[in-house]
This record gives sequence, structure tokens and C-alpha cells, in this order.
Amino acid sequence: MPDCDLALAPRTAVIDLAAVLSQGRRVEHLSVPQEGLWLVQITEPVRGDGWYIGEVPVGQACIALHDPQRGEARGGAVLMHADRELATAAAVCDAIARSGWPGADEVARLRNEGTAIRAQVDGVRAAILERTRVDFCELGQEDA
Amino acid sequence: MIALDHPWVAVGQRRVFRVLLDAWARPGTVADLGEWSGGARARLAVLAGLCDAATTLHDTHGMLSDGDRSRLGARTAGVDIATFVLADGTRDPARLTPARGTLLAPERGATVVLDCQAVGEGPALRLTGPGIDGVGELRVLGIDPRWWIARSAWCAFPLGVDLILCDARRIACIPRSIAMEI
Repeated sequence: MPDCDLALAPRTAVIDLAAVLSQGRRVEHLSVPQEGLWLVQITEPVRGDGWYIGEVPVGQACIALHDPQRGEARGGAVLMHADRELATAAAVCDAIARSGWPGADEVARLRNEGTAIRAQVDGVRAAILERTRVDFCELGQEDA
Repeated sequence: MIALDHPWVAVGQRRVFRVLLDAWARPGTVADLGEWSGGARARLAVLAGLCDAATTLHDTHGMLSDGDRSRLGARTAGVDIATFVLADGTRDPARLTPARGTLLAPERGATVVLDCQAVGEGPALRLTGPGIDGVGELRVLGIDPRWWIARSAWCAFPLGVDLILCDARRIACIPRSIAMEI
């Protein structure tokens, strides 16, 4: 199941779950959470020059969760939302899921919600795309 | 909300940057960063206010923890090319060769963040130059005097290094344009 499905789950659900999962544990930010626009750079294949194809909003966080009994679990998240609070919460969920600590099932449930939302959005987009389909062969026959 | 504390909070970093600008404009004045350092030494608040992924840092004496090093985000670089150099002022600066810039790019001279015992206490330095009305005085305690010799060797305006002296809470700046007497 792709990690990115967590980004599609309801924001408040992710943040609330992360708050519950971090209770009694210390959250250490391994890097300062960031939010803003990411300039997406690609390298063109002929000359190898870099150029920017556009900007996407990004939030990212990387944390270590310290549990008095279980030790340390690390997690990270890079989301296409300029929202560092959500990215931090997603990183906490990621740490729990990766380590298999109690709460991993709840994270999996949220991911399933995200997967369902993704399928719904993909379906809507596919329907829109289908309406724009042009059959050039038929156009040619009409012209004849 | 899983919050960050000072010195990693943006609003605190902006205040630190503002204080640094004032301190650069008035060399030798002592400023207190305690409010925004989150209990850490002032050097960390200074670096958190100045460093990001676009900068380079050399931790000469290994004074930063792995976590702080990671949170600063600056790339690690050799002392001769680093934008920022962190050093322990109680230790000998021998063999330390920070970037001095070039005549075409003097801005590439390093900023040296020098940790010492106390800023605003101890033996007095006499400062003259831009931003100082007549002769200024800065007291610094717990710094190896060979740093002043090294600084005089590094600085030939517009080339040279800029110093930020830090103790537990306070800082003072000595730009390369300042003449200094012990």
C-alpha cells in the first residue's frame, strides 16, 4: 500500500491520530519541518541541463519517536500540501507503521481511507478524461 | 500540534536575525538571545537564524550534536570554503584557515561563530571603525588570545572573516572592517 495514501486521508484524522500516538512519547524533529513551494527540476537528456517544469506545494517532516519502553522509531513524510503540521503528523504515523508499534493498525486504517479516496478521485478523473477522447479515425471518415 | 521549540521556531529565528543585523550595524554591542535560544547556548540560536540548506557549515571542534546538525540543514564543508565556521574560542585556532573571500567576491569571506565563556565580561577590547562612534569597548572572557592574532592575519578589508562571539545567552559581532586592539 503506497505511503502517499496517508496524504489523502482526512487531515484532521491524521493529526488527531498522531496526537494520540505521540502521547507519553517524545517527538524529536530530526529536521525542521518545512512548507512551501518546491521547484521541480528535471534534467533534459540532450545537454544534461537542468530546468524547472513548475512548482508544487510541499510540506515535509522527519521525526524520531522516543518511547520509554520500546526505544526509538523514525518516520518521515513529504506531502504535496504546504502544511507542515500535517507533514509532521504523517511522519509520526509513518514511524508507528514502520516500527509496528501499537497503533500501526490505526495507521493502516487511515491509509485504507486514503486509498478509497484515491480510487474515487481516479474514477472521477478517468470519467472527465473519457469525455475528452477524440477518435481521429472517425473524423477522417466523416471528412471523406 | 506537535510543536517545535526555540531555536527552531521561525518567529524566533526572525527575531534572532533582526538582533544580528543590529549587532552587525553596531559592532561590539552586546545582545541577549536567551529568549529565543530555548535553553541552548547562544551559538545554536545564531546558527539556526543564519543557516539553511543553501549554506555551508564547518563545525571545527565538533560542538554540535547530530540532531542539531541535522536540524540546521546546512551542508557540511571544509573550513576553507564554508560560509559559516563554528569554533571553540578557548582552543587554539592554529591551522584554521577560513575563507577570506576574494577581491572580486569579498562576500565569500566566512562568518566565524566563536563560542567563549562570557561576552560583556572580562578583559576589554578596543574597537574602532564603521558603526562605532570614536572608540568602542567590548569585554570578552575565556577566549584564547591567539584568536585575535589569527583574526588580524585573516582580515585585510574587504577580505577577511566576520566574527560572532557567543556565550550562553549573549552575542557580539566584530565585522572584518573593524580595527581591534587588545
